[in-house]
Amino acid sequence: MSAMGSFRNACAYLAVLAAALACAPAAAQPQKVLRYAFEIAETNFDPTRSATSTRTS
Amino acid sequence: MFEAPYTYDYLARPLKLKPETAAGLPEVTDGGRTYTIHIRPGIYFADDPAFGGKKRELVAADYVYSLKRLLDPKVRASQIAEIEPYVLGAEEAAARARKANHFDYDAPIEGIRTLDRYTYQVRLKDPLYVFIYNFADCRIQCAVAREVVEKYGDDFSSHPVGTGPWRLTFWKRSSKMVFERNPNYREEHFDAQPNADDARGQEILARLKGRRMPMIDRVEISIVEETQPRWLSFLNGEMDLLWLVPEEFAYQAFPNNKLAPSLAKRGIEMQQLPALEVTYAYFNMLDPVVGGYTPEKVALRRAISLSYKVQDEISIIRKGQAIPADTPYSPGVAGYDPDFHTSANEYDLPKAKALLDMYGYLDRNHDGYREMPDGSPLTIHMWSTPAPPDPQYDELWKRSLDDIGVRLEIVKGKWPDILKAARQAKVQFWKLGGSASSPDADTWLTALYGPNREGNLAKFDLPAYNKLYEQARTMPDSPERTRIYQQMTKLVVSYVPWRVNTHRIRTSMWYPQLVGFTRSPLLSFNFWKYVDIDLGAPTVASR
Repeated sequence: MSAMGSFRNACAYLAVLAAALACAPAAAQPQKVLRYAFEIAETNFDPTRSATSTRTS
Repeated sequence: MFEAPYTYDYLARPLKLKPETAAGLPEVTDGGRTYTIHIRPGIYFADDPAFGGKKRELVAADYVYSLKRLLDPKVRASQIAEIEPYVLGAEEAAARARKANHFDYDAPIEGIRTLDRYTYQVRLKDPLYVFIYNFADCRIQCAVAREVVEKYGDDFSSHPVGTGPWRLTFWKRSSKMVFERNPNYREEHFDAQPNADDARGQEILARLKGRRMPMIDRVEISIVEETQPRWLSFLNGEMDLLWLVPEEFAYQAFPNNKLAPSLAKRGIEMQQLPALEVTYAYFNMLDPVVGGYTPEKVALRRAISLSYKVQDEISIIRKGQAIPADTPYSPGVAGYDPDFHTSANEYDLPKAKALLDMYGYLDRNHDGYREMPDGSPLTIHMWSTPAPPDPQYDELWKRSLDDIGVRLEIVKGKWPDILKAARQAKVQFWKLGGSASSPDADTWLTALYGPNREGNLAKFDLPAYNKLYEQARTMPDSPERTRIYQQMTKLVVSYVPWRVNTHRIRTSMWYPQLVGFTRSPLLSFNFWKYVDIDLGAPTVASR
């Protein structure tokens, strides 16, 4: 939260100096992204058709 | 994306049912035959053109519709066997649809109906207490909207619209998926019930309790089928989480089950958890050589079982990431009793040989291998894939059977092809693993129930077992039911339709920016809404 706060302040400060800079809230908030890998690709997103057997070697 | 009326508490162990879209737990009446569920008003689907620009509220009729879809032959539902034999009127509805080649969604089904806008009821022919878990199984009870299914038709499977916290915003098949917040997702706050002595659970609860979910904006999933690139992309910092550390890297990643110092130095965290999983090798009980229930057939299977040293599988192939199994169900499920032990994993070559001698499996032609009691050749055909680690298993089994003078031949095939052959009872002997779809031993025991044609690959059909299974199904979880499970286990260990092998230990690793992660014992559990990404955490390579 503290990192976010200081970023907003930096935006406000910049806005005073150069009003043209894009400091809209949407652009100012860095996105929280979770990245990881699946072993097996999804073949469809219909929950009812989801597979019964998953390979567990 | 989709939501069932129930889920499991994020931190409670053993797993505990918890309402997702429902208000309170299901009302179970009529001795375990009737399940009544109230849905919370004010839950909305994600926006979609199928809703004509209006907000679309989730109602009880959506769950009725979604459950009926299992009976529609065109849907090809994976879990139809959980519904069709048990729900009142379901068999008739499915039969009508098969005959007419059309499922009439407007026709009432006796056992699946709404009581009012937010209430529905499922009624069964007979008491079945484990049925309750179906209401937390997405394959059975996730709500889909009829308008969306009908608008997109065959494309529905690539056009998911649900009530959950996520929307699919990018999908490149076999490569990448991106999910982003569903702006219509209701106001939900983090709460959970870890045990008092669960330090990790308590820490997560203290840190996240009361936070609005989801906490993250976006989930990016890469599909990485090969183990080595998956391991390396985690080490390189391209991933926040390695959901499953491949067994082959176990010694490198956590020698002696302690996180390697080089990883600990980078703030990487690790969790090891016994999976709700059983690995086993099954015999086809209909096979003329290994099948059957007469003493000499039982003796052959028992001897094969006694020849296999599961500790070698665990230390050599699984790098210590498994424990020997005593039961055809795993620790962590209802019905499991840690004080109940069996001889399922007994390793005793003299005993194996004595059994074979006693029942007439003798090496008459002195070629080093035994023949059948009638003198005809004896060869066990074990099926396996060419992919690692299967060749290691081939070797281990070959050595085991050589030790008792039984000839083993390996039949190679691709996994889906073996499965297909197995369903047709054409596979003599095959190694499998089964993950729980519900936290009850029933999830595996059903696979040994004679009348279960779909899931019972061993084609085991023993009247004494069937009777106990039917009795257990009418009982709620209780010490009495646990004892019945143990009687069933003794039959499995005696007749050996399954050679029960291991329960695997699964290890996850993650970087410190991933906050609140814990692995659910249930593979299908989606944890995304329960975790946060700490943007202030020390950065790794690419962040």
